[in-house]
Order: sequence, then structure tokens, then C-alpha cells
Amino acid sequence: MKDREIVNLYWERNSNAIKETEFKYGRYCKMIAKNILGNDEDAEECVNDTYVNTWNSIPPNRPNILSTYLGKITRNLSFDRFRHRHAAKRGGGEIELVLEELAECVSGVDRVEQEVEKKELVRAINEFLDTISHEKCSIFLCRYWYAVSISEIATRFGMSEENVSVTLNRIRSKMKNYLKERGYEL
Amino acid sequence: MKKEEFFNIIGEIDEQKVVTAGMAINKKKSSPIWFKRSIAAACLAIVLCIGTFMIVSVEARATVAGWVIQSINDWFGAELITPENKELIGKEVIDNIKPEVSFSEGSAVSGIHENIIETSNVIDNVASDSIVLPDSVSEFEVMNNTIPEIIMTNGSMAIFYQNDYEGWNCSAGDTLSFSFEKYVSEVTPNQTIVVGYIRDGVLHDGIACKKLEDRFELAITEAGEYNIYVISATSDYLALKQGVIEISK
Repeated sequence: MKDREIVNLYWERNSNAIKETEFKYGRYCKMIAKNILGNDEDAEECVNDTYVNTWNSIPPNRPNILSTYLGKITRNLSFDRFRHRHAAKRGGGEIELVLEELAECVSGVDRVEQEVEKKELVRAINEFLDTISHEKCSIFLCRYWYAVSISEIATRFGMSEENVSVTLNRIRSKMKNYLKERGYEL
Repeated sequence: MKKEEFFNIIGEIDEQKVVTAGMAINKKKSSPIWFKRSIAAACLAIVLCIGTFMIVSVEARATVAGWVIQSINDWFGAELITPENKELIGKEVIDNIKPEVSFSEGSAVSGIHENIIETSNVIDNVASDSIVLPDSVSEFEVMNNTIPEIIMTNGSMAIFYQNDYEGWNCSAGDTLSFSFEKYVSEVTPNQTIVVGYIRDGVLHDGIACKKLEDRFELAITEAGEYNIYVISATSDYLALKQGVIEISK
């Protein structure tokens, strides 16, 4: 079923919407949740929560790209769950390594960012990603959006793990400089 | 800023970029050709051993041999010409195996990219719905304006790019040309290849070229970044010799 038709089912409050979503994007959401949480049980629960959130948010929303809409919800829910669990104990999925790497780009100082600042920062990161090749952009997002492991990225892009790590390191460093030049002291 | 906050901010990145990266995750990694050949060679060895000890009819042997050849030739798309696939140049495609679309896995995520074009690093969009899309897309880097030698199966597309998937920056009034030569086919003298262009990521319709040696010329009316593509429109293997892409002012 096409995405538009699935979204229409949500708007019609037809419960088949969830069934169709699960059929088409269940594995996709599970992959994101499992990358972040590291275990099937938690990932499964997050995916189920994703369906509930989607049901509750469409309408009023009408996503342009259903996959990323679902992916974003799964990513946020999984990350919340990770943080909740992380408060009690360490360990879990790929996310800890991902966060360690991202720590290189930020100061770690807690400050309250305004919503407008965040939007500008997102725009600047998007602009930065436009300056690098499509492949590098995808490698970056596989790692920091989907939290995919280095070895999996290496397999998918036909690269060595070392090469992926070096590429990511260079992108992070380049991005940090790019943002700094534009006045973003993270 | 805390790293967790930064992770959340990355979550807001442009959706289209996220989709593209998602497709890369789900891209099926094809087995290297040497692996397929090794399997085929092993199968051939087994068949020959068994054949030595078994009395079978001539027809049955032919069937087995055909199956082995099918296994050897079981690839689909466009590849650089290498010592391993060189023997296929000019040959007839003798297998009837349904071609496997190299970048599609048919998994749950396949719904994101309902057409194969979306897996391309060069193409973002299609100029018109009437354009017939290829069955696979392969991208080849061009060095010093010279394309590498490639071999293609029916319906596959090869896109030529410069460093980092860049095209050729053209200004209005320029002429972008692509001179190419096909290897001679043993099957048909006039294999059809479609040659076309992509402007600023948008795929435009191509034209069919049947001559063995030909030149595609595009008079630039609108400045932009242009890539040349070719699609094999012949049922047998189509191989291209080195060709040249150049801009004349």
C-alpha cells in the first residue's frame, strides 16, 4: 500500500492503518529501536509505542514522508527509554558509542537553548551536510540518526571499519569547524 | 550543549537525507563476482564428477550444462569490464533467470523507494512521469573526462560522475558531448543504447543510439550541473569502450 493511502487510513480512523504500517515499516522501526536500545524486548515495546503515537498524532499531522515520520518517533521514544534505563545502569545498544563520538562536537555544558536557536542549528547542520558528498552524508546519518554500528556501515558501503571510523571522525571535525565558523559554540 | 541534546538535534535533519541514508542501510550487498564464479565452478565440478559416473541422456546433460552457464551469468546491472566478465562482451544472454534488482531487497523498507532511481547518489528527481525508469542504477567515476569500459545487461543504467558524484558544470551556450564506441556484438549489429542527461539531479529523457560509434551532443540552454547517463536497451550484453565526455564553449 502506498504511504498516502496509509496516511488516509489514519485520517479515516481506520485501525487497518496500524496493520499496514506494521507490515510496511515494522522492520524499519524495529531496526532503529534495536540500534538504540540493543535488545529485542525493549525495541519491540518502543515500536508498539510508535504505532500508538502515530495513531494519536495523525490527524492532525499529515506527514510528507511516512517512513521518516515513523522513524523519528521510534528514535525519540527509544532514546527516551535509553536515557531512562541509563539513569539506573550502563550498557545497552550502539547508542553509547554514538553519544561518545558526538561528545567531541559539543562542550557538554548544560545550557537552555531556545527553540529558534535549535532550528537554526538544524539548518546549519543541513547546510553542512550539503557540502559533503551524498555518500558521506549517508554514512554520517547511518551512524548518528539510525545509530547503526560501524561494522554494519562498513558492510553496507563496502568499506573497512577503520575507513568508516576515519571518515566519521573527519566529518565530525569538519562539522564542528563549520558550525564554529558560523558562530555556533556547542 | 550536552551530547544527548545534540543527538536529538540530529534527529531533526532534513527528511530526504534521512531517507537516502535509510536506503543505504537496506541496500543489499551483492556477492562479489569471484564468489559467484567460485560457486558456479564448484557446481560445475560436482556436475562433471556425477556425470562421469552416471548414465544420462544427452538432453539431460544439456540441461545441466545450461543451468551451470545460467549460474555463471547470474548478474544484473552494469559493471566495469574486468578479466572475470570480459568473456561476456558481445555475447548473447542465455539465461532466463529473472533479473535481480541490485539495490532492492524487498524488505519492509523497500516501500520507501518505490523506484530504483531513489538509490542513486546523483538523481534526486525525474523530469517527467513518462520517463521509463531503469531496472538498476550503477554509478561510475570518470577520470580526465574519460569513462571507464563497462558492460551492461538489459535495462540497467550507468551514470557517469566526476569526483564526489559531481557532474559537469555547464553554462548556457556550452555544448556537452559524449563520444562513445560499443564493442561489436556477436548477436546483433545494432545494439540500442539510450543516452541522456541529468541536470541538477533531475533525470531527463534520453535518445536511442544504434550506431557502433556515436556522439551525443547536448546544447546547453540552462546553466547547471550535468551528468551523462546510458541505459542498455538491448537484450544481450552491451559493452562500451572508453568514451569521452567534454564541454565545448
